[in-house]
Amino acid sequence: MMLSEVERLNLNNVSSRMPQHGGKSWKKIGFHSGKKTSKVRFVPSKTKHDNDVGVFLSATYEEEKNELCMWSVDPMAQFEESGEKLNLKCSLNCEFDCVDMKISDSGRVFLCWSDGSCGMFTVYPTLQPSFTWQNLHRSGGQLHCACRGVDVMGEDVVTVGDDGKLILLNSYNQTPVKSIDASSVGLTSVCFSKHNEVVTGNSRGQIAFWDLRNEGGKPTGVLCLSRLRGEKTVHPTANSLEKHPTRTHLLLSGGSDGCVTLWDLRNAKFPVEFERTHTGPVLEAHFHPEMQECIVSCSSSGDAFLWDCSLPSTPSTFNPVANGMNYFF
Amino acid sequence: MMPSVMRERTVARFCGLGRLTSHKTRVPRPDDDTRSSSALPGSDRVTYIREDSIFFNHQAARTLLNNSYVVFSILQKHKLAKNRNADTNFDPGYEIFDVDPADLSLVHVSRAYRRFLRDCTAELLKNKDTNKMETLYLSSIFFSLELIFHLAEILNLDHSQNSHMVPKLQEWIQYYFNESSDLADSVIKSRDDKSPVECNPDFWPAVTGLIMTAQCKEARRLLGLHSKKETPAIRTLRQLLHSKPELQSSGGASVAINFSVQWEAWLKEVRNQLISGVFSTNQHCLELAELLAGDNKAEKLVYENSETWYKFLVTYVSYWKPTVESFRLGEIARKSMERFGMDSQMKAVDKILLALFESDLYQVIESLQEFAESGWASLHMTDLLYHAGLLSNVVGQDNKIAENLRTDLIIQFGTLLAANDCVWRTGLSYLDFAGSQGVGHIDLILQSRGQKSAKDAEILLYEAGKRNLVKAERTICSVVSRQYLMEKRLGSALMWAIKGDNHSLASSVAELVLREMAVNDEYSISDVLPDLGTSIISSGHLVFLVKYNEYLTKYHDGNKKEAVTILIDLITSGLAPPYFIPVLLKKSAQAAKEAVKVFNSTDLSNILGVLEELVVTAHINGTKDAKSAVASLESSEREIREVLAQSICQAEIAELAKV
Repeated sequence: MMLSEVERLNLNNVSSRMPQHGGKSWKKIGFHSGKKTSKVRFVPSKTKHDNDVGVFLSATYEEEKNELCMWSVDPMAQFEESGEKLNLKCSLNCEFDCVDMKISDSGRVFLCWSDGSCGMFTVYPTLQPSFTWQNLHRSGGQLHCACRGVDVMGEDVVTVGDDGKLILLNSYNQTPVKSIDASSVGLTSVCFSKHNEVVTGNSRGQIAFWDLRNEGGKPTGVLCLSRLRGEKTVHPTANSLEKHPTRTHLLLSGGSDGCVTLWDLRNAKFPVEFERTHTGPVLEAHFHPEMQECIVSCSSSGDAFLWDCSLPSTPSTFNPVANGMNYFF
Repeated sequence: MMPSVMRERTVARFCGLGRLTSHKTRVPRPDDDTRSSSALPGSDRVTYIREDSIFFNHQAARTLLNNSYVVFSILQKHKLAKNRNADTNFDPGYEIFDVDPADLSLVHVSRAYRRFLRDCTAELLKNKDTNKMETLYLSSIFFSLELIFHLAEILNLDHSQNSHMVPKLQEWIQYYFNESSDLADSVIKSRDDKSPVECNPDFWPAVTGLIMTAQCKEARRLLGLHSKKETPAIRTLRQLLHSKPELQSSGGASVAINFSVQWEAWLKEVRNQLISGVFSTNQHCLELAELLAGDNKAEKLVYENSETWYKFLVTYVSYWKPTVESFRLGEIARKSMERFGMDSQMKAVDKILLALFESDLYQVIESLQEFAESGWASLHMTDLLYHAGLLSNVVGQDNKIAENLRTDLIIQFGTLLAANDCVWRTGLSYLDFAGSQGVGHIDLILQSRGQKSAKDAEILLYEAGKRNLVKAERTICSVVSRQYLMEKRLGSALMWAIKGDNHSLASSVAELVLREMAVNDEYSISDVLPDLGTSIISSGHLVFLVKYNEYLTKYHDGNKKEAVTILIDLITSGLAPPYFIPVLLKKSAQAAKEAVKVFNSTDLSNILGVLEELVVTAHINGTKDAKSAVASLESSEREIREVLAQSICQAEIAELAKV
């Protein structure tokens, strides 16, 4: 059974959970890393060596010595109850907090730092730094400007930051290719939609579509996460964006109000909101890479949900089928 | 040379949570007559000082901290003290996170803490690349803490009317001081055919150690390897060890009575064998038989073979007082300590263990605070004892003292953690359990912590929002908003001001935007303004700004009629600030030129009226804004008047034509 990719944030636990047959329960093969982990990413299977199962990277934040670590899952762990089953393969020291991380199919890792720069690393043969684009996102004052999101498609890399800029980079080029003033508030998440199209989320709950070929600084479309809660309008930050791997009209967003929203871009006025929302900000929401109908989301409050959209339910709401409660801070 | 009239002094003051700043300064001497009262600057170096703790940067200790916090919170939330029927044989380990809390009790919590302490010690010893002395020192502290928690568990938590002390104490000693087993193993391994096993100098010490720690089966097995095991001395000793009755740790009074009867019978047998002289051929066997008989002559043997007074104590109760009740242990502990001459040289661990045996729980807590790291141990111990209801009984008053003590310890530990960048959120989580005082501390911490970036602020907001700390939320948002304002990032400033419900700040930002637009005829925050919803109600400037943005959007999209309606509303409503009226007038003129048909004559007249009013007011008694507005209109005033006049004519003609 393939390990599902679960990204958990604000953790001191680095752990992976496998849905058991049918996805009804999670089996934990966790281990305590002792450092606050901001991002966890599996390395894509094409780039792994054959004898490594479930290799993943973790990056820390708010530590005196931040680290980027590579771990592998002990293959025998699937059959045992508990205990230390994750092996630390190597680690690199980092000066700043990691805010976001993406791994390309070709085995390159891109990290966003809290000082507004973006670093590129290679995974194999060993984890090592390749290049850092410094000062991509800059502030003019006391508040640091962090690079908040990164996505990669082929050679192209796109980053967004607190300064509201969307920056296009090329893996082989040390100078940024293009910079767009995308928003007057900070941008918090980004993903590639097609090769020249990018979707960004900002801290005002607006999701904007950008065609990178256009010269102007206007988006081609905007969606809104703001909603009326009681008497007050809430503007959740769009923390996470992802396009479905095969059905490109589907977009998934996770907001700071605990809502996971699925957009059908053919009919974007009526998004699907997942009913049992998280109690804390949703930090990541992803489509399962293997199980096409499943979505995984996790939040600051310490819960991770697996949503199975193939089960019969009311038209606009889904309930989670598995709920991994865990304690993190 | 003149003596210096200045003397150097180090000054320190509090700076933020849990931090001090320190610097040197020079101040006049007290006998200085020059009356110069101001201190001259000394060194230009300022030192930041904060309390350090192993929990801040040792990975093993961080793991301990996090795991123990989770168990601590399970205990608070699920009131485990009341689960009396939970299976006390269950040792949960890390499963405690997944087990249904209804199946847990205080004993399980204590065992979980011990497991985490054990793993912390093991982890510290594994990572030998750090400073070796420090690692050994820290691992010895955690080892001692595990010892202490285990004894506290035996004496206070895993203790019902049906349980007996001695077997548990034996397990306790065997677990932490298993040198005898190791020695026995090494003796067995080193066996060869050349010499009998009893020639190994460790043989008899191993047998003695095993018997002293009540591991009689192992002792018997080791004796069975003796080359002369068929001799009467050894055979009898082995047989006595085999028939020694064992008291189960639970079972109640009937089991104790049965055991007493069996024990007396067995003792009689041992003493008979001693009197018969069967052990006279082997001095070792004789001494061990005396020990089994609880003979006072054996006391010296026990003393010589005990490294610590508590090992001595456990052997003593095993063979002299096997059914001892817990309340007598204090007396026996004191006597053991005196035997070892410990009165004058008690170490911290000894103090705590003695206090546990004497059931002096407040002394235990006080000593733990002095001994162990950062208050972790005293807090968790106090909490366990508090929930077991054992602290209030001691004082004889109501539970308030115990409750206050627990709250104070939580606050002490929580604020220590909250002052550190790595574990501050754990500190807040602990403070959650300190009642209203904890809430107060959290409120202060969140407001004074400061944020380095928007992401930090979002985390602070989340922590404040979780606890409904509205004031803290507002403060955080307002501070971030002002920081963005200083950077001239008006969109973010506006957004944070709205988030923090700071109407006046939102209004100020909106005004800045409007002024920017009045000058530049364009503005940077157009993406923020749609969909603000109910957030704008608080501020007139914001309502105006949103409406103006709506007008611009609609006009740009070609929806001129609706756009113009909004524009007219904006001009004639009186909401427009004076400096912005020129912009509106220019827009009206432009719209009238391009699409006069969407206006009616009344509206156009009203617009002209507004222009008149502006000019008149500015000339007579105008504010600075009004005057500069008129000044900026100067070049285009004539054109606007012409356009408006023409449009009024056209509109009136069109209206008459309809009639």
